[in-house]
Order: sequence, then C-alpha cells, then structure tokens
Amino acid sequence: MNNLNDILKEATEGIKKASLSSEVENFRVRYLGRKGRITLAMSSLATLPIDQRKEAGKELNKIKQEVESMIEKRLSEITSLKRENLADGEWIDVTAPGIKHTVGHQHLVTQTIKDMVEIFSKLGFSVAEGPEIETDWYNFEAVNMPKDHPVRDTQDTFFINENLVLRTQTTPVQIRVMQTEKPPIRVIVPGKTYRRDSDVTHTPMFHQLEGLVVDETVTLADLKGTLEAFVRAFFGEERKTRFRPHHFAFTEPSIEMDVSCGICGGGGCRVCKYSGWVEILGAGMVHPNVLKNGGIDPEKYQGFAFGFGIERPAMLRNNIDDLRLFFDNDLRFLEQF
Amino acid sequence: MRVPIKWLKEYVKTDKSDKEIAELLSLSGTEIEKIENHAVTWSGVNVAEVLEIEKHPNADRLRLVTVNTGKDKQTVVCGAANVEVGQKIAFAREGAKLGDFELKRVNIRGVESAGMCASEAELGLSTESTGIMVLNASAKIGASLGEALEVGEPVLEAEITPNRSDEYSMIGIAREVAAVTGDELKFPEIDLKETEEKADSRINVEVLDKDLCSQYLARVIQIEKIGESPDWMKRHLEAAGVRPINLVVDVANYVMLELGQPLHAFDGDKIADQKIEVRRANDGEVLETLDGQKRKLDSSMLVIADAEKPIAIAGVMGGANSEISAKSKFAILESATFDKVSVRKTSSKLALRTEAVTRFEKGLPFKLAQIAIDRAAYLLQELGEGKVYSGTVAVKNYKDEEKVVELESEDVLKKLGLVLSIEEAIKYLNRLGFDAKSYDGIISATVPWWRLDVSIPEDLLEEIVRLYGLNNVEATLPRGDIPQPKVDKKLKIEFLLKDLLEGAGFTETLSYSFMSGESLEKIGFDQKRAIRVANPISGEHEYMRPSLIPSILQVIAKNEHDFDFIKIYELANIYLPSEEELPYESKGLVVAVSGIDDLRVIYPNGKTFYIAKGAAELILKELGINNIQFIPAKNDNFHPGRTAEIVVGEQKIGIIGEVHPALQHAFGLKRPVAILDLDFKLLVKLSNLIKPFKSLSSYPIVERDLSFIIDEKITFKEITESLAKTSPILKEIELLDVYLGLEEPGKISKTIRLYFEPTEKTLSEEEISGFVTKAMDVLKHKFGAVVRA
Repeated sequence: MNNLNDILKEATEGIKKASLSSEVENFRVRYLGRKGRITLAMSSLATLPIDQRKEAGKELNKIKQEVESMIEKRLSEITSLKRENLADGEWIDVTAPGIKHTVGHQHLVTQTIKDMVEIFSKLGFSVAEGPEIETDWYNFEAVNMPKDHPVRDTQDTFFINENLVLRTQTTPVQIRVMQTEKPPIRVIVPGKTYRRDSDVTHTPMFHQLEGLVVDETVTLADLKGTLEAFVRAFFGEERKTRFRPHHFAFTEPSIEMDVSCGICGGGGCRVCKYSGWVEILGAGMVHPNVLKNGGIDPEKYQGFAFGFGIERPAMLRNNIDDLRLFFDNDLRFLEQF
Repeated sequence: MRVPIKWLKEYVKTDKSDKEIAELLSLSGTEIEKIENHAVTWSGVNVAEVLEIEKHPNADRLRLVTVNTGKDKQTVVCGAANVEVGQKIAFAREGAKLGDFELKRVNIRGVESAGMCASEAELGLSTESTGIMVLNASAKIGASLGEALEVGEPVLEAEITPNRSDEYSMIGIAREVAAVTGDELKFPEIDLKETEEKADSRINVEVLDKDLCSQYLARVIQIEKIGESPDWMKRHLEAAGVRPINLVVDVANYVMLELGQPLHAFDGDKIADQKIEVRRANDGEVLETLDGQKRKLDSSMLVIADAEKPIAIAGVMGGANSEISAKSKFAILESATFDKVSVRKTSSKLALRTEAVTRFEKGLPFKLAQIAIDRAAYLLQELGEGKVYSGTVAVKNYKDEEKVVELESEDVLKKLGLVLSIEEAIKYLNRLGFDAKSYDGIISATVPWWRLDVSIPEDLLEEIVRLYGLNNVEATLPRGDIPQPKVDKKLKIEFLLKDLLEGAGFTETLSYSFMSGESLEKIGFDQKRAIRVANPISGEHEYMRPSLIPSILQVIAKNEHDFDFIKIYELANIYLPSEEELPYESKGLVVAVSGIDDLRVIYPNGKTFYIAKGAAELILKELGINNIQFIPAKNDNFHPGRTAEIVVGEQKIGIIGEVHPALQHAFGLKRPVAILDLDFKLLVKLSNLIKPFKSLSSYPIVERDLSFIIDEKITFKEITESLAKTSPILKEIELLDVYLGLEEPGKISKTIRLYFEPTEKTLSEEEISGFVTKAMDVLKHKFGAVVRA
C-alpha cells in the first residue's frame, strides 16, 4: 500500500506543477491510460488473496477517482488561467489594417436613378423607356415644338438625318407611353439625352428623368405635392421648395421648382449664386395638344409632367462641381461613390 | 435681358426695393438670374478723408487712422503702409457688407476698431492688393463707393422665356411689375408736332414679298445736326449693354429696348431714287453690314433695297451703304413686321444674331410698329430738334383681330386644384391688361394686343395662377386610382446585374454613346454600317457606337497607369442601322479585366481571361441561366487561342476572350485585357429569377482529390465529360491546381477534386474507392494520364 500512497503523492505533486493542459493529459496517460500505473495496479489486484482484494480494490478505486478529479480540476484551472491571461497571451495589433475585401462601385448616375425609381415607385409610378434615336415628330412636333420655332434653339440638337435626332429630352417617351397605355397613367422615364453642348455644366450626353401622370382629375396642386414629396425623400425632410411660373412648349401652365440650397441652407452662397435657391426641375400640366398627339382625349383626361436632369441633383447631393467628371471614367472618381 | 432698374422705374412707380422687385418677378414667371449691383455689394462703404495718423500703442506695424466720413469722425486700426493724411479712401463702417462678409467691431491689440480702410482685394476689385485703395482726390466725401467709382446703375438680369416676346422690353417688364405690385404703369410720352412736309414726298415704299413682310412703316425726320445723345440716355443704353453711337442710332436702339420693336434708321440721302423696296435678295447679292462684314445673300433672305441695291437685311442688320452718320440730314426710320421664321432662318444662315433678331424671331404684335416709330420720332423731335414730316408711309398687309379666350371657371378648381372666386380670377387677368368678364360660369377674356402667347384656356389658367402665386397653391397628392404596377423584368435584371457585379468587385463606367471613325476602324467595323451623327461635336463623337468594346478599352487606357488591377463594366445601348423607321438600339453588357488578382488564380497562363470568365459564370448562374457552354472561337478582335463563344442551348449570347494583341496595341494598352461581351436582351430572355428548389441531401458529401499529369491540350471539358460517366453520384468536379513547369514538354499537372453526393445512403469507404478507381482508370486509359496516388 505504500506503493499506492507513493503513486498518489507523486501524481498530486506532478499534476499541481503542470502548467499546460497537454502536460496534464500526459499524467492522465501515465496513471490512467491502458498501461498507466493505476490501471496496472488494478489488474494486479487479481494476484492478491481474496480477503485482501476487496479492501485493496476499494483503496485503489479511491485513488483512481482522486487522480481523475485532480486532473479535471487542474485542467479547468489551466483553462481559466489561460482565459484570464487572454489579453496578454493572445494579443494582436488591432490597429493594423484589415484584409482588403474588394467590392465594385455602381456609377453615381445609376445610384441616383435607383434612388429616384425607388421614391417614385412608392408613389405608384412604373418605369418606362423609349428610343434614344428618335424621330423629329416624337422629339419635337408631338410635344408642341414645331419646326422653325425659336424654342428649338434652346436645345442644340444632334441630327442623324432630316427625320432622326438624338433625343434632346425624355419628353418624347410621354407620347409613346400615352399611345400604348390607357389612363390612369403614372410613369417615370429615366434615360440618356443628348444636346450639342460642352463645358463645365454641359456635356453632349446627359441623363434625364421624365414623369407623367394622366387621369381624369390630376391637378397642378397634385403636381406640387408629388414634387415636394420627391424632394423631401431625395434631398431630406428639411429642404424647402419654391415654385416659379415658366414656359415649356409641352405644358401649360408650366412651372419650375427650386430647392433651398443644401450648402448654405438658404442663406446664400456661391453654389446657389447667393439666392438661397437651386433650380431643380421643370414641370407643368400636360398641354392639350400633347395629350391629343398621344391619342388621349383632352376633354376627358388631364395630366401633369415633370422632367429633370439626373446628374444635377447628384452634383448637389454629392457636392460635385464639374459635370464632365461623370463621363470621364476616372476610377479615382468612380470609386468614391 | 438686362433691365436697368432706374430705367424700369420710369415706367412703373414702386416703393419696392430692387431685391423685392427681383423676387416678385421671379415668382411670377420672369426669372431674375441676378441683380448686378456694386452699390449693394459695397453697402456701408463710403468715401472718407484721412485726417490724422498715429502710432498704435501696442503694435509697431499698426497705426490708428482717423477719418472724416462726412457724417462723423472715426478712428480705426490700420495695417497698411500706404495710408497718408489727406487721402480719399474707401471707408467701410461697422455693419458694412463686403460681398459675403459683414464687418464687425473688433479689438485689435487693445484698441477698438469700428470699421476699416478697405483694400481693392477686400472690395472684390482685384484678387490681391498691397495696402488700402486710394481714391481719386476729387471723390466726394460721404458718397457711396459705387457713386465714386461710377460703376453704373443696378441692373436686373432677366431670363425671358421664348413665348413672352412682349417682355423683351422695359415696358413689358414694367407691365409685369405693375401687375404683381398693383402699382401704376406709366406709358412713355408721345406728343408729335409734325411739319407741313409730307413723308411720302421724301420716301416711297413698296413691299414685293408680302408673305415675309406684313407691315412696313417709314417716317422721315429732318435733323440739322446729329449730335450725341443726352447723358441719361447714354447711361440707360450702356447699362442695358448697348454702346451709344449718335442720337439717331441711339434713339432707334432706345425705343427698341423700351418698347420691344426693333427700328432701323437709314440716311435719307443715301437711298437711291428715294425708294424703299422690300424684296427677296438675288442669289449671290452682297451687302456690307454695319459691322463691316460683307454678307453673301440668297433668295431665301428678305432685304430692304433702294432703287439700285440692298441697303439692309430685313430684321437682322442694316447695311453700311445707308448708315446714318453725324453728317446725315434726313433720317428715314423703319418700323416693320417681318416674318419671324424668315428672320430666324436668315440670321442662322448668316450666323448673325442681333438684338433685332431676338425680337423679330419671337413674333411682334402689329400695333407695336406704329407706336414705336411715333415714339422714336417724338424723341428725335424733342432731343435733336428734328422736324418730323407729316404722316407715316405705310404698307400694311394683315388683319389685326382682337383675340378672345374663354375659360370654364370650374377649370380653376378642376385643373389647378385651386379654390378661387370668379371675381378674383378676373381681377388677376385684368391686372395683366386683359379685358375679362364672366357669364354663365365662363370667364371670357380679351387678350391684350401685346400678348401673342395667349390663345387657349390653359394660357388663362397660367396667368391666373402666376398672379395668385404658385407658392400659395396647396400641395396635394393625386387621388385617382393607382395604375396596375408593372413588373419590368429588364429593369429588374439591369439593377440585379449591377448589384452582382458590384459585389464581385467590378466598377461601372459610363461612356458617351459616341465614338470616332478611327475607333471603328480599329475594331474593323465598316463606317458605312454605323450610324453617323450629321453634326457631331467633334471627330471623337462622330458615330453612334455599334459596340461597347472601344469605349471600355479607352477607359482602361485612361486608368491603366494608376491602377494595376482594373475590373470594370458598362451596360448601355449599342446602335445599328435598320430598315425600320428607327435604328436598332439594344443594350449590351461589356465587362473588362486588366491586370491580375494573383492570389486566387490557379492558372499559369491567361489569368485575366479566367477572371473575366468567373464573372460570366457568376452572372449566368445568378440569373438562373443553365446549360452554358464556352466554345473556342475565332474573332478578329480577340486573341485566337484565348477566346470562346458563350452558348446557352443553341443560342449564342456573347463572347469572351483576351483582346487581340494588335487591338491592345492600337488602343495603347500596356497589359492584356480580357473582355466579356454579352447581349443584355438575351440575358433577360433566358433568365429565370424564380429558381426551383432542389431538395437537400441528408447524406454527407464526400470529397476526393486526384492529381495527374496529362497532355496539356486535353481540355477540362473533355476530362469532366468523361469522368461524369464513371459515377451516377459524381456531383461536381473542381479544378484545384494547374502546374506547367514539368520536364516533359506538352504535359501539364492538374489536381481535381471530385464531389460525390449520395442520394440514398451514406457511402462506404469501399464504394468511394470503387468510384475513384474508375475515375483513375478513365484518366489513365482514355487520356494516357499518369495519376499520382
């Protein structure tokens, strides 16, 4: 039995000193494994006389349990010690840069169109589209801009031939929609438009978003409400709007909308030319001639329409001062958004 | 149009400030883009005289300057070296505004300073300056800086919409101001004292082309000496942007600006046979215009001619041969109504735009011509002691009828959404010069003669609402039925594709739809088969692009220097001629990869190709397009050994490949570029976004790797197709590694991973070994591969 006590003493000291869980596991093998000392002692019990066997077995079992519990205890001590020392033991430099995940970027024009489509969708608008190379009739005549009318001068036009132009506006799609759909109509038309112009604020290609609502009872007041809802959703709740009468061939009455300047908040700055307002869009009640050209009876139906550039609101939101950057395709620009 | 405010106020007496006038005009439809006013920019800045200069008690470089402002004495701290006693300076007092900046009282090193001696830079007169601005010694103490520098009167810059021809005049703007403020309008004075001599004794008018000239009026004014105009007139003209010349020319210009009717003055002695003929020019006829340019005319253009020659281009510009000068004795004034389209066409043909053209091309009311010519004659009578011959020589060929427009009064509510009494609506119309009344719920309005733009009921609605105030209209949302929402599959897929590509690290580019003939040539596209813009902005933008590839290669060329690895795409229309009324327009998706992302690419060669191919596979998989094949293909713009057509079922949907080295060179690209070009329309057609569910296997998937050495020309497709036959549960074969650097030429080492997906039970080790052995056998016997265990 001395022998057994030696085992226990030795195990107790050894396990206590072990500082790694692997060392503790070695003790488990040494004492409790298949050829472990306690295991061997257990099998040698058979050599003892029967009367001693029971007592010795009891003793040995007790020691076995004690060693087992010492091992478990030590293991748990080591684990908690390790956890207590995590801060030092497993320290990393969290200020070092992360591994780069690369994600691409959608063009700011796309992002802006998506925002606009989402806002107008909630107001019940669907998206329509039309050809970029358009007939003179759809682009001009049908929207009340006859040949030789000075109003055409305000839109320097690219021609393909006498009959075909690069659309100068998304307005012709109004006619195409009216020709194919029956009221009530609520559509927006985002798309490319072209004018023969190039400087800091003009590019030969740009994007517009056209809106058209035709029904029996839509009013100018509804037009105002729709545009105000759009501005608040797009620019922010705090932005104010202002409406001014204007002239467009395809609407009567015609209006323009200004939004309070987001840079100065309306106090006046360079961006708003010290007026506190930034012009955003043109709109109005659809001219009866335009309804007629779209095959809609102006006696029964009326409507409103609006149109605006897509780049300009984006420039205002993102504080961009040169329109040409949109089409320069400099990745240093594109990857900012 | 430039509207000098002092001049404007001669026609409408109002106590509104300049800013209020501008605001009221803008909100009623005459947009004032800005008020040019240096006096406002410098409010609180006046001329002062330096009386005394002392040292600053606490600073060596600063001094205390005492000035006489005319009202009081002020002492301020000044750091300028050039200040001297006796100087007249620009003194800005506390509260003065210098552009955006408002001057406040400050304490400068222990001394209070309530103002400053301003420098040119501080006044916005120059970008930099040394020291303060020193004014002319004659400057009047106390005068505003604006006065002292004689910068002229404040001017409104008005944007006139093309429908409002009446507003290209002081009186037109004044009418608007009067209508919105309710102030009284004062029409310019005309009090002619005609002489005995009759105008038609001195000049004779014949209009040969009546369709282009519906009215021609002429007056004769005899003037002894044509001198300069009075100062007030010169100042008005200058403020409006017109250079004063002599009294007669100035009066003609003045009345045009005042009333909107262009006038012209000929020297009566230079008109052959005292005869004016209004006719079309003869082809090739030449006239030197007042600007000294010789203009070649043709028979589409209307001219004013005497018995021998043209003396003016109708409605555009006068001729040098009949120009009025200081020596002229007879001024023949012309006031006419020319065809607006003809004037516009002539002007654009000659590339000659004038103030007269701006007005004629919008159309002018018939009544205006007589009023304007009388007003000009009156001014010459008063200012130049001119003798106005009796009568107007007139040729008229028009019917001037009163226009009446009727509006159903309920439309104010129905179309504007505005609750307004009939009386109020009528009040607004009448303030704008209409003669409006109502009967049976109808508002009947006689349109004022100067308003050519009003002809339908909607025009009256606009007049009513702009005076009522657009901003007073309550905003509402449409109340009608919401249309059936349309699911636009094209748009949905376009947005989805962009999201997918963004997630995969591709950046969207947006190029012009135009391209150059040179680029077409580079990709071997016949220029005759491309759509050409008749009036391109430059050679770079001559054609509507039939392919997106040149644009995206240009984008890479532009960015290649700054970025080692570029992954971009564009989704846009291409354009091709067609037999239909409209050309063919259809969206394409082009993806481009330049450089290599070396971490993940296992292939020793053509890495960029495989990066692009990964994008193709991702897109097609996410769109639910299956049965895709990449079939080796030849295309002149692509690398002959690194190109494939993408085929779905039987349908070719696009091409993928490395750009041909020759094309790469033509676009000046340093690195190879891989391109994926897909037909968007077919992607939409073949896509299947609602993907059917496949049940999940309940048994674990087993993976086994195989490495082997094989002929390099044996394709992955051949290998996978053969291996697929070896086991019904071989779900997928992944290529893990490729190694080329073997000693034996023409051989390649590959590692593949086989995925077995059992459907009925968990696989035993024996079964798996059986499948793997079969696979190894195929590799060995069919392809002669050496399989490493």
